[in-house]
Amino acid sequence: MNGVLVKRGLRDAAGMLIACCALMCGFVWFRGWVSSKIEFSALASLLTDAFGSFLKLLPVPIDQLASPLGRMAFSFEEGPVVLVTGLWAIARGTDVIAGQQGAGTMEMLLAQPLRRITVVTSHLIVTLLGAAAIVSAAWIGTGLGLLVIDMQDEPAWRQFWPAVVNLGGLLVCVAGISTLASALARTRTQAVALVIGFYVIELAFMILGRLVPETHGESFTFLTAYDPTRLTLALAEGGAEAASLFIKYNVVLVGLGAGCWAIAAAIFCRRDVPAPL
Amino acid sequence: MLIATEALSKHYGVVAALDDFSFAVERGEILGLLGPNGAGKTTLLRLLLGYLKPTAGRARIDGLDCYRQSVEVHRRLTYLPGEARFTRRLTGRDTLEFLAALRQESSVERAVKIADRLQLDLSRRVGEMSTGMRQKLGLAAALAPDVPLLVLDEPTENLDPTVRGDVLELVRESRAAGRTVLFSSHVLSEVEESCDRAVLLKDGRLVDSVRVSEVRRQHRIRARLTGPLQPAPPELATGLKVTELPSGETQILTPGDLAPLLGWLSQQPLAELQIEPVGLRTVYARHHGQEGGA
Repeated sequence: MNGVLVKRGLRDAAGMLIACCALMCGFVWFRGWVSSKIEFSALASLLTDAFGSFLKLLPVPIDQLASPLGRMAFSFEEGPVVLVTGLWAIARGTDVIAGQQGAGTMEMLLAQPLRRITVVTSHLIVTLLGAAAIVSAAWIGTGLGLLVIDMQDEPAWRQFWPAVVNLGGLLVCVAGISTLASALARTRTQAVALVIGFYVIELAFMILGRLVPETHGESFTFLTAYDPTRLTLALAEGGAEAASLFIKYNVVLVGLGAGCWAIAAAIFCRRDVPAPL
Repeated sequence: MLIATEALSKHYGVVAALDDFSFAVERGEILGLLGPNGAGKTTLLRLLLGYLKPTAGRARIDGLDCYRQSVEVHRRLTYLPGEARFTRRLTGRDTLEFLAALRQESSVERAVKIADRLQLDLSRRVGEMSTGMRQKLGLAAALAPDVPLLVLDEPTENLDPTVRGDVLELVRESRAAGRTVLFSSHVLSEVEESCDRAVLLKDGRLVDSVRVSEVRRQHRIRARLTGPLQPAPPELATGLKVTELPSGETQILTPGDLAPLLGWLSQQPLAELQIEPVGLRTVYARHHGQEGGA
């Protein structure tokens, strides 16, 4: 790690990081407020009657989801949260090698007395600090949401830590996969396309696995390990099984991310640095 | 020797970007790399910087392996690529400060001084700079650190003639300060003006290496004779190359000073006489036809 690179990286990424944190905090806050305004028990019976088979796609049974804790925790699985997560992790991950190489800045950096591993590690530190800020923003947003709502059996903001940690795991995982794509691709556009393509395939496996459990589709996707609603509800109830599931899921996400990052770093440290396009 | 390569090669499949390239650069020397596009100049520089892994052979700078010990090698050199690119949102000053912070041998004050000399507005963001301005910024960054070797890949490519002159002056000053400069260029006159030695590349191979001062002393004499050429006195004959051209003219290539030959020439049965300095253009044309730059 190099302090100068980390400081520069933080300054360069500050704009996007602030926007991501604001979006995350604002959305989770707003989502909490919205969930307090909807009568979920009525909505649950409507969904059960009208879209029975699609309920299989939900992470937990509808009655658990309809609980105050379930409703609030489910905001961590909503599109905008996944979008902000993807935005930060993919933007940072694909920038580190293919992005800097395409922009020509890598060539100038590597002309300095810096090891290649130092360049990617410093970039990773900024990505992880940003990930920590984003998950903190999501937690703060949850807390703020709880402040403005009036719900029966209102959960405490501390109860959402499993969802927050799981979101952090997803950020690490997607950032690692994006870094690997960045090491494999010639351009940043190619790297982004690789990550999105991979994500779509993984999502398809997850949907398939939930709709048709016999296919075991969920075994082939890392997205199974991102289950903040289930983890929050399970850990609120307690028990060794819940703790084991929590550890398993987060180890899968962080392990996959770290593994991909390590492979990416190994590729980058051994390969030729081509002239920028 | 500060730089030495031994049978250095870089192949991409069947394509040899650099093949069996051996050369050496002495400390304090300004060496020009000459050759058309695709001759292997940039590949050679990228191998020296450790950006590329050699397919065969080895490159050393100050005794260090350029690929395996690239960090130590980079402490001894600065590099300016053909087209310098920096983070677009930074100002010129921020860029110089950032790069100076990455190496102990550098100084922002020195970089700013050079930028001022190149008339570069450092308050402007890199994204708002022209290619030439970015190149000046790159030069200020490359010339500021106090390191023994300066590697410049076509440094004057995007610069106007006035700034080109300043750049060549800075290169000469670097040499005067005891630095070694490795300088790749298409522009023969620049190499002739600023380099001690020129190395010519063709299709990834080293085809010639000449001392610029020696080339400058060489002359080509073309004469139309009305009778047979008298043999030159033995003390002058060494190194003279006399050729009968298809046009009927006689061509004499001199290896050194022209003055001692003039007496002998005046005694020859001359109808016409043309004397011109050989220059790098002639050496270049010998290997690359008429592709040479300005």
